[in-house]
Amino acid sequence: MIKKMIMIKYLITPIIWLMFPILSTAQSSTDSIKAGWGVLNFAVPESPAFKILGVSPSDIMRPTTTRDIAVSVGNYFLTNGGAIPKDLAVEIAPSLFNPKLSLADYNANKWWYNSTISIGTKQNPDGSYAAAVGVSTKIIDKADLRSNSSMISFDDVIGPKINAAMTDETNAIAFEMFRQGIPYDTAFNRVSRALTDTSDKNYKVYHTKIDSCILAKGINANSISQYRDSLKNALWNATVLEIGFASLFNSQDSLIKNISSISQIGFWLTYGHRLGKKGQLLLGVNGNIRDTGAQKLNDYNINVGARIYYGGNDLKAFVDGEVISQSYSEPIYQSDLGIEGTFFGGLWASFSLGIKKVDNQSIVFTPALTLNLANGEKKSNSK
Amino acid sequence: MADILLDPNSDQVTLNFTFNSPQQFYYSVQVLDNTGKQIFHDVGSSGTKTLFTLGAANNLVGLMLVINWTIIDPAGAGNNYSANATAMQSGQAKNSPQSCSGITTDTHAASLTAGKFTSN
Repeated sequence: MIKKMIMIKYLITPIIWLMFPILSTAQSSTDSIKAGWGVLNFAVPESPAFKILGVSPSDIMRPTTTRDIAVSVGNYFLTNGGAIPKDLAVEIAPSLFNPKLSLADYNANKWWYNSTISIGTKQNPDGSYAAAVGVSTKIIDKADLRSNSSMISFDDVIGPKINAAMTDETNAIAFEMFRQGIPYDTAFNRVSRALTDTSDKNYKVYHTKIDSCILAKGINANSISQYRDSLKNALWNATVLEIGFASLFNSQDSLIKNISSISQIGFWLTYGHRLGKKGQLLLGVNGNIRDTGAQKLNDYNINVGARIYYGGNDLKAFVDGEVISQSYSEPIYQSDLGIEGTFFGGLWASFSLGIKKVDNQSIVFTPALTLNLANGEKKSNSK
Repeated sequence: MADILLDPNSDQVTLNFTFNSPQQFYYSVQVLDNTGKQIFHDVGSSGTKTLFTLGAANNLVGLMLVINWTIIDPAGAGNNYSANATAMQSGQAKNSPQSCSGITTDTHAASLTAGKFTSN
């Protein structure tokens, strides 16, 4: 036993030492490492316009009504005329065009409601301006619980039972008030207010009574969140398809009328395919085409990658490969083998041993340890 | 408790549920007199029954409409929910729709709306 432990120590120590230099630089924020792809850069950006502009705006305008947009645009043109803003960052969710979005509406056009339109501008160091517009959308998302028939069916069984228990209890509360001489309409009015107004003195009292009644009828309301969590865990490798694209326009000055034709196009695609209960295949393509000098859209780079996972949401092994192809340099080939896991509900870590080859140069060994503090949710697939 | 103004000489009164947010809504509809006696009771959900026939308008005047709402969000906690139940006569919406709104929880949210049928 002791001999075995010493062997493990001798095996692990060099690996840790090998990885240590990378550990300090590989730590990253949640912005740069997306779940599913790990350190490989194949995630579709939420705001492709900001990505192609090369900005990370801290203050993004997210209008919640079409009126907000109309007023903002109107006010801007009244104040600034036809000038390009220096640092605009706007994200528009298509759901704002349908403020009365029911679950049925959502599921009828899910891809549309899972889209984001981004618009951004910036002033370049040489005084010229750049403007970009981008769109990202999830064409397929089998991990979406709002369209998961198991989750919907589960709620359809427990929901009516909870509602029946709640009706019994609120009737009992109103009846008790009626017995004390309070008219029924006043009683229900008080219950109505108390259930939704957290500052009402009876808010906690009535909710506790309703919860007790639900429990007394043998209904476990917590089973809703428990079932949701179990589904999330099982859907870590659900099939997903996300795409995004963006176009960038330049202007030699701040005048909108001087904006030139498209000078850069960026695109992103990531597809995750479920391989049984424990496997997932990820495919990713992204790249951009841009102007060089007077040449229109003649410089390109395209990245193609694939990763296969095997395991569960908490711990899985992976093998991946990536090709980076550029118009004016040799392609780069990279491959990794590793494991990835979540710990303590929020810490995500990935260990990998990789090789990298640039055309005729010799193969470079690229081990990596990546730590990422997630937001408490377990990592899902390539979002 | 807002009044629901009916035309007692007009048609049957129906109650139409509409949903303004992507959650599952479950509800019980009760019409009660001023002693708490149940004149009408039925249940429905956003995925099944969204239209209720409450009866003749002249029989409803003076009674209360009480709706218990249970809201479950398949996506979980922290999202806005909103729905309405509107009394209709001859295809026309009457005033004071019963509106429930709030924030979803990990399990279920509860709301109760009430109104009194009156006539002009």
